[in-house]
Amino acid sequence: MMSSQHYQYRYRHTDTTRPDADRRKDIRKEIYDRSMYLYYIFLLVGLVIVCRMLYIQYSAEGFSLREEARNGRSFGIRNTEAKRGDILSHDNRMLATTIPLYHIYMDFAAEGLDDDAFRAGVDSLSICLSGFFKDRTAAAYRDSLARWRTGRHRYKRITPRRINYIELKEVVGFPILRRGRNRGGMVIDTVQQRIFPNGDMARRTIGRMNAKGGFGLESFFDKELSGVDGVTAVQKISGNFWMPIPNPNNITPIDGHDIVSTIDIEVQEVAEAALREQLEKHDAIWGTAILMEVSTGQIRAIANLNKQVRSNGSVRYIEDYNYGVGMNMEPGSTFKLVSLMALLDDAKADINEMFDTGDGVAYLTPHKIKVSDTRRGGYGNISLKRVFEVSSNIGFAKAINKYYGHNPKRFTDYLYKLGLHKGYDLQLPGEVTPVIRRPGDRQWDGSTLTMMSFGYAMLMTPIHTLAIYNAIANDGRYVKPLLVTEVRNSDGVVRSYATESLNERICSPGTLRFLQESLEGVVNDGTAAVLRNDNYRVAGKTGTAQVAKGGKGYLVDGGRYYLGSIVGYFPADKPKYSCIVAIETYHPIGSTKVYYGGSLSGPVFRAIADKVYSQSPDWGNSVSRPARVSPQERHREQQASLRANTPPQVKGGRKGRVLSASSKIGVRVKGSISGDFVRSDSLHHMRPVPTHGVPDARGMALRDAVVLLEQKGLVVAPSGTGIVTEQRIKGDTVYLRLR
Amino acid sequence: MKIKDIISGRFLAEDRVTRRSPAIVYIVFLMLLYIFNIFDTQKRYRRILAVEREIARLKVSATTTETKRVSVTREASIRKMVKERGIGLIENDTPPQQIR
Repeated sequence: MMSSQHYQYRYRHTDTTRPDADRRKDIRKEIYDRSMYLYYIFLLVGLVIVCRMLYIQYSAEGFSLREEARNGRSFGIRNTEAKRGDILSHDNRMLATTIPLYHIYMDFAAEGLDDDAFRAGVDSLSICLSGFFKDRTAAAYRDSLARWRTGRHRYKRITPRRINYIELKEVVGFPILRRGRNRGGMVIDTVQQRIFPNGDMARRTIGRMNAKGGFGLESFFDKELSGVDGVTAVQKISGNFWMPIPNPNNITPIDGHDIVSTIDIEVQEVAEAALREQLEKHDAIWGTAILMEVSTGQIRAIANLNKQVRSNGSVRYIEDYNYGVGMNMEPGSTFKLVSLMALLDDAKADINEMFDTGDGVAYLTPHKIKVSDTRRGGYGNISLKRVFEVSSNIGFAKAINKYYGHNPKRFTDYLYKLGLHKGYDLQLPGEVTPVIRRPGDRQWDGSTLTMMSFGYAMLMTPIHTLAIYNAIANDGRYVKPLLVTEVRNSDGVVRSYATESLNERICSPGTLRFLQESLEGVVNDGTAAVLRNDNYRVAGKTGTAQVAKGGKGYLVDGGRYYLGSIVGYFPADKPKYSCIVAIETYHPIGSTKVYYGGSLSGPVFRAIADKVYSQSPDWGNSVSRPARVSPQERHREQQASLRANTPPQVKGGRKGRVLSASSKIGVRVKGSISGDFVRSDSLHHMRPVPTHGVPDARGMALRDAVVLLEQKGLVVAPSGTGIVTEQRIKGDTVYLRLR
Repeated sequence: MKIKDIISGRFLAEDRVTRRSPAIVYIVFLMLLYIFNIFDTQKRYRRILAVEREIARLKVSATTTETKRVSVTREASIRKMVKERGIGLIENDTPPQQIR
């Protein structure tokens, strides 16, 4: 490098006549010159930058900018509301969900909304609003709009009701509004609304959440449904763009989980409709109907209705209380099943043992308790088997007293061993557990054992009774009723609830068989005959109990309250579902109204069972070809019928499905096909859909057409329902007409 | 070292600077990477925000439509519509038979 410190710049061009050493010196000097140029330029640029930085930081402008940053306009907190989870039916249909609903306000003094624009659009806006909401005339809308405009109101609501997102997309395209916030004055107000697409169906079970804690599944699973609201620190980068920044106080938002219930919407609907019909017909006070799947304990339907008298005197039935799981009451005759179990399994009584039920009224020692049977004149001397068949109170009272009178504790011990006193950890708030007294309890007296033998002096809820009968249907396995099977989110299942058994065997196989036969007998020629039908076998028991009203006893204000119930399962040979229906009515003395369990609640049970039957394909006989028919014969048959009738047109669609559907109905497919999608032009000619260009989706169902077209990157806009009949393309949107 | 040395650039030729020039280049390179990263992150966040908004829009659209679908496909609604349009379909009271 150059050693001279005092070099002065001088331009020299290289001179080829000079010696080498000198020339090298020249070149070196040029390089040095250039470096100096660059160095100075960069130094200058650097200095300018540094000066500018210092200026921004420490000048007056700098202070004002810092102020702006400090007073929060470039840092902020973003709160994200977690979306509440949905409640779903067992087949994933929505029972409860949250959707945003909107109101549109107009700022009539918006800067960008000049008089010309307003005048030009107000008429058509009024027409659009009137046509959309159909609540006022276009003229009425125009009046309001014009008035507000004159007054330059800054925030006036123009939507008469909240609209959903789909409707919002349409309304924001209306005149003036479509100009936006500044130029049209359009302001959108959003609320997240919890909605129940099925209205009041299963209202107390699905539940509602409110400030007082709520009820139903909405309340019980509130924590899972709520999720976690998010808090994020954000920094303003530019204009409207805020970027999240790390901060120890940040909370990641977590959307609420979904709850999958066991309810079936269609069965629930039938249960509610049938229950309502009976309640209205017999002017009942309340009623409940529960359907349970035998092997799993899952509740497919739970309907509760009670009478409400309105201020104008009219009567309607609403779901105001969950009687099915919350109404603890004396079960009456339906409990006799358990008494019989105790007699046979625990006391080892003989089913053919005779008991004298006398003339229907007996006074049992030692306390001369009056026990009466329903049949006038009584049943006389009958076997234990018959006692159960005719549901004789006296018979049971005598039998229980014979075997347990000297040691009542053994009876209650047996009941406790079965687990009858236990609750179910039901997935609903406010579960009530049965009340089964024991000797030594404060309320136990000499009459308690007798009363318990035919289902009084104890409290059980309808779902409890149902679960016991469900155990009989379930081969002796006593399982907990289940309302929710899964808690899940978009990643998968968060928690699942499996069937839990409380008692693997509530009675011996012999007793079980006898009980099942007897219960079927009650339906075939007993009090539950209303359930008998040609399509499926039913087993069940009816019960008609008097209802004690607190301290007033059984006779209240000159009348009695009765609880008419029916409980059973079907199909009796291979039980799939168990069901209980209970209805309470009030009868003044001398009333001739119906109150027996069989006639009052039976029709509801029947309606529910019929509906379930009509939906279940595997109960009925399946249609299958007899194996004896030879393939040639079958083919001849097929060809003949093809010529004679017109077989159904097979839709186009995915090849695999079309082929399998065709083979199942016997339509032979001609032509070899490659590719995924086929269409059928004629009855049994399949042609592949060409894959180049725009695919022809005509003849296909919407589902396949959408897949076919979206695979090509097209946007599908369908209209109508059914099969694609017309197809038009515009740009990259395909319009399909379905019929 | 005098001011003259700095302005003339002489000090850049000094040994203690030239020895560290690889390090200096490396540090400058890291600074550039850092700046690039900040901008890139902001760009990504912009995209994330846009996609999140789109997802929210779609989700709302889907939920709203699903709600309508559920209430329309209830058997009670279908029954009503069938009656209104006089289609003449009646509900099955026997189960469908499976063809084996």
